[in-house]
Amino acid sequence: MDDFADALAGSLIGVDEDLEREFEARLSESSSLAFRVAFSVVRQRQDAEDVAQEAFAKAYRKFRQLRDRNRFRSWLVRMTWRLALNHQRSDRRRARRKTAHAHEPSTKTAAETPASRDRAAEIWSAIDALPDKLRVVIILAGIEGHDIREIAALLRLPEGTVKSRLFLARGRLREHLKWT
Amino acid sequence: MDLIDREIQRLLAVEPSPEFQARVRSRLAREPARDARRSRSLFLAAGAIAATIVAIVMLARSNSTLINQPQTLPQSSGQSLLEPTPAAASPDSAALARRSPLVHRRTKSPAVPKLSSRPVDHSSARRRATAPAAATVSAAASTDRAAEPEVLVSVGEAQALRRFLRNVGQGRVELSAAVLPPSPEDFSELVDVHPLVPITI
Repeated sequence: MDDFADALAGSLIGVDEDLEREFEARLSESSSLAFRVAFSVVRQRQDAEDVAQEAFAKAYRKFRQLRDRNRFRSWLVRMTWRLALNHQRSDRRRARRKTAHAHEPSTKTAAETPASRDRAAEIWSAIDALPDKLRVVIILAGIEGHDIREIAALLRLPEGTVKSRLFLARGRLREHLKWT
Repeated sequence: MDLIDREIQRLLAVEPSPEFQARVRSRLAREPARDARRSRSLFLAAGAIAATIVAIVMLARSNSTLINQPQTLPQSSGQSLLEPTPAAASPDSAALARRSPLVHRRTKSPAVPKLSSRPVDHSSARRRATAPAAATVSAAASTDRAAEPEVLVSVGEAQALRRFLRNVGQGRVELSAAVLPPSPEDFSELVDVHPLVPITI
């Protein structure tokens, strides 16, 4: 019985090797996307990496169940988005991170000035004020210059819906930021 | 592309640290071992469940075979007392099995037993069991009823039932009153209603 189980498990591992190679390719091409989606929600580099890593681990566990492998990026984006929101809503963890990063120049670059930091904070605040449906659309439009068709494919929504949400999101941001 | 889009693109133009992918890979490397262990235990559990199901089915089938097999009943005096049929006269076990109530129940589909017209008194049955001649008479009478379970009725009850049916047939017993609903006068004559006396404690 044990031998039989070992043989079956061995053949499964053989199948798993192909899956692992495929997943490795997906990881290389989608790691930046997952990280940026997570970063757009949690705003901390370390937290964003943790969330993206968690999303990849979850995707890896369920990769076998994904029938259409071409939808991996869309699947990963939605998974990362949900995980990032859960992470953000966990007040206790966020408070712990805040104290840990209190004296750390987390996302600052050499070119950043106090004025640009204020402007960034203002934009993030306006983005946070958007409903989730509009927020994810405007974020994906800002990542890697995705167009409406690509955003629609990532979110598995009709292009018309994406277009109207993008229009609404931009309008609300302009209104919030008092930009013309 | 307007100013807002450019600003958002600038804000999101962040890259993960160089060791990010390595960290993810090391995290994933811990997953397959657990997966293989899980699949192995899954196969073992599935095998155990399948073996249990097969054992239950085999057990059920062997039980049903036992029930369908002819039952060899011991020729004791108790058996002949309860069933004074040819079984008592014939020692053939197959004949015994054919007349066994258990076998009849499985072969006959109707569940309602037919009332035997042959009244049986336990005391007389006991007497007949000792008399071989009576057993042979009983065997001849029961050959046509062998396929049905018998309901034993005492001699007194059977005689009373016959007498009652004969009287009804001859019009000596009036059953129409039993069919009609009772009138209130029937009860008023029988029951005296007294006013309640208040109870003081």
